[in-house]
Amino acid sequence: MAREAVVIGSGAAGSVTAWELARHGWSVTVLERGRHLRAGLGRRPSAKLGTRYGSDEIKSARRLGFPDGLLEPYTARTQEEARAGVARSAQGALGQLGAAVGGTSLHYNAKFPRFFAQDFHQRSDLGPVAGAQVADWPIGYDDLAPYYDEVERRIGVQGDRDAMPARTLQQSPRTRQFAMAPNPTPYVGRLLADAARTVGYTAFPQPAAVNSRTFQGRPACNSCGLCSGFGCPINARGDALVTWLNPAVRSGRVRVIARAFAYRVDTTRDGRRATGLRYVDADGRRRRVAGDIVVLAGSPINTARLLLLSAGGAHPDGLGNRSGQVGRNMMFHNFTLAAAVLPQDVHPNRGQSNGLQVDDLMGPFTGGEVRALGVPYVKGGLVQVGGGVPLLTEAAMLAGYLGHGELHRRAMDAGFLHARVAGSQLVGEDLPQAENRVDLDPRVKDFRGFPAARITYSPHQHEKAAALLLGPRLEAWHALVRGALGAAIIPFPLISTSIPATAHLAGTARMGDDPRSSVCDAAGRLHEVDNVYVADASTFPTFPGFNPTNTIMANALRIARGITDARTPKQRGGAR
Amino acid sequence: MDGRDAGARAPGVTRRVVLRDGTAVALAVLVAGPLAAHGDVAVAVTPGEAAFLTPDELRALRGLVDVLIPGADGALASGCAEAIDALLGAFVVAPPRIYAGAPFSDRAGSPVNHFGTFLPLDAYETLAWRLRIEGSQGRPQLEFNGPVTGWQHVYREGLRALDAAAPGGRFAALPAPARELLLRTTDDADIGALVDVAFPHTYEFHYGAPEYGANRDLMSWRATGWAGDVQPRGWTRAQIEEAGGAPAGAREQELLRELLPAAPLAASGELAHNVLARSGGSLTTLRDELAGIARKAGRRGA
Repeated sequence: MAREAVVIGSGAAGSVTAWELARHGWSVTVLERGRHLRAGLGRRPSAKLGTRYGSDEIKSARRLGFPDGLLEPYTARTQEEARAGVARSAQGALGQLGAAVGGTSLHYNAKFPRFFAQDFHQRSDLGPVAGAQVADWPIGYDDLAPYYDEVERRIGVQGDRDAMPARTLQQSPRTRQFAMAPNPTPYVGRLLADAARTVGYTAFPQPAAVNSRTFQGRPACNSCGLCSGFGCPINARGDALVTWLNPAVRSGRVRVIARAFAYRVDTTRDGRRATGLRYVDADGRRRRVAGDIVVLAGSPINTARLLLLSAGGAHPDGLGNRSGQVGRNMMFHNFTLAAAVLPQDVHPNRGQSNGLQVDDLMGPFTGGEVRALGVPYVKGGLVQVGGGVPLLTEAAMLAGYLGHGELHRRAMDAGFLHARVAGSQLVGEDLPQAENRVDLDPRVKDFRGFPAARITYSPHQHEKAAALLLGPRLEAWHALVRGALGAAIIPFPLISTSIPATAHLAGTARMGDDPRSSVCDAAGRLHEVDNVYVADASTFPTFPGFNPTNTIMANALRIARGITDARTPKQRGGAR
Repeated sequence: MDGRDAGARAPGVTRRVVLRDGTAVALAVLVAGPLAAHGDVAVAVTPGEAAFLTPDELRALRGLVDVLIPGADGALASGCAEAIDALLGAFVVAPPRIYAGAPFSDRAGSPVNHFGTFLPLDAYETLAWRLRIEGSQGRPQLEFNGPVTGWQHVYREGLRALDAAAPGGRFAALPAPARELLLRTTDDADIGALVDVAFPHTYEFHYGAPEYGANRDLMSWRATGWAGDVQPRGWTRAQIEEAGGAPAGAREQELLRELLPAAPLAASGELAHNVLARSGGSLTTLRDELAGIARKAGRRGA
């Protein structure tokens, strides 16, 4: 008889998990708090799915496929506010990832780099950092490499291994060339690449799960430029849904319950085994689903919230929280943005967004210059080169900057942000801190009556030091863009006290070998509960500066295969 | 004539410019007489289109959007007031005009305009958008975090306050520079709350797809050189790789230099999207978010 699994979340981690379990004969129920947005799920091949997305900026601004900030707010405060007893200083759509069948990957930027080998043993290599909980991963790059290979092969990744710098290949070795050649490099990318060369940096095509040719029946990307925050209207992007979830549902072993909000993992009296999961369905009815295992894959804030909501009995402080680490080490990437302004229209939105990558600011950087900044080392991250914002986003940014009226209008007509900027973003590493944490807000609730997730967050001195060290380098690079009127940077860790405005989230249920300092083991299993796994980025002990989806999928596949290897009766085949 | 220079424009000039536009002729003719007599702004609503606001409220709103995005092809002419009114009355029609259809308009190679039909909302989305538009109105099940003031109330009270603040009792009858100055100097909380949501709505409708009710004749896309939605045609390799066009004029370049500290905001669509999301549609929150950037980059305070 098939074994039963309950998976919470249908995004990058949950879809991969469901696919892998189904392939090994498991019967899987996926609970997703968002709605269906791709017509034909489970009934048609992925190449034939419909979509509710278009190149429609109003739809994007109105957040189709996201949780609603009124109905399901998160709250936030800084560490300093927390120490002063401030319960919250912000409330709304804070740090919220997408909520739709397929998760945030429906409208992600599809950038698909791998982490570096050095990231998995940072604590051993570089030592401790005061005020941070830097830890080695319980796995190494080599453990993840075969899963990177498999994920990339299935999802379809474009890139050019021959153009990658030697250090990138040494730190993230690849056994073969990418499945697809890169999209054409836009004019703005070439301008920035030329300037990078003058300061000794190498720009190369950023790996992306975007088709540059027909792949699995889905068409090639036509470089419309509206990627991040937009669903791909032509189905040219590999994502959790088309690559994993839809094939899994078509196997007949996976059912997806949309608009299902999971609020409690039930356990046996001794707390050692989960017996099922409670959720609220689309009609507001409270329901329960049983399973042999429960896999949490709802993304870091939601995974922590569910573990904390499951407190009781043998788990008074939250499920699997004897270590007190559930919700802690919440990490966001800290961006430093850079831009050159040019007199002519450089078409920043023509081309797959951020088509190039620079790894020269990855680090670690050490030495006197760094110690002068009060930290033992600085790790930056990759630089995404050649980003752009579309028109309505420009109008909003300028409204925040200039207010209404004549000047706003003139800046818009001049095409300031959507036409005349060559820009890049440094995806800065965020060190884990005990006090950067998710807990349950004591007062603010969601519309179902459950406590909201509350995020306490402040950047560590490391993030500020990284911006101080690397921001000027970014600025110098952009100032050398041919014909530029000038260059500027926005180093968010130095400027903003809010939680970073990013969809890159990790931490809250870190994996590790020691149950006293981690929430789950290397297999993703809660130290304290035999059949509850965490498969999403909650498990990451550190959060190096890379777009995380490839690593989320590879790690979820690794965890899921651990489950199938250990727990599957000998029956195979199915989901393809 | 620079029709965008609100400071130099008299109300009559607006009407002349609008009259040059064929599609606006009928509308302008409808109202030219009586409005001209009041020195009012010169674009009307087609009779029967009003969804929520009264004619007086809509008139005040037209006067407001005209200063938020000024110009002969600004928010007034592009239909932003009418689009906002339709948003306030979104649930009068089914499906409500919240999310346009997909995947394509008919502007870039699709024979069918899918944007022209709106998507049905599910129960969750209906609850969220009704709460946002109509407010909680004292219903306990919607006040799980306290009362929510809906946009309908914000507009109704704010527009009333605008008229009350105008010396003659009609905000829209004031010349544009006077309307702008009134907005700049008022301490009225209802007017502040109005502008807080009305400017985001105005730029959303003005610069967004025309199926949402404004951006008539793609006037904002023409003015800004924006290509609009380009799917399913996309861009050719030659278009992607081609160098930029002629450089901006001296006056524009001066402006670009002045705005330089904000330029990095264009570097990350993802970040911008998230900044916008947490503003919750509030201009004040958005300005608070970006105020540090402005201040610390040595530029304008917010």
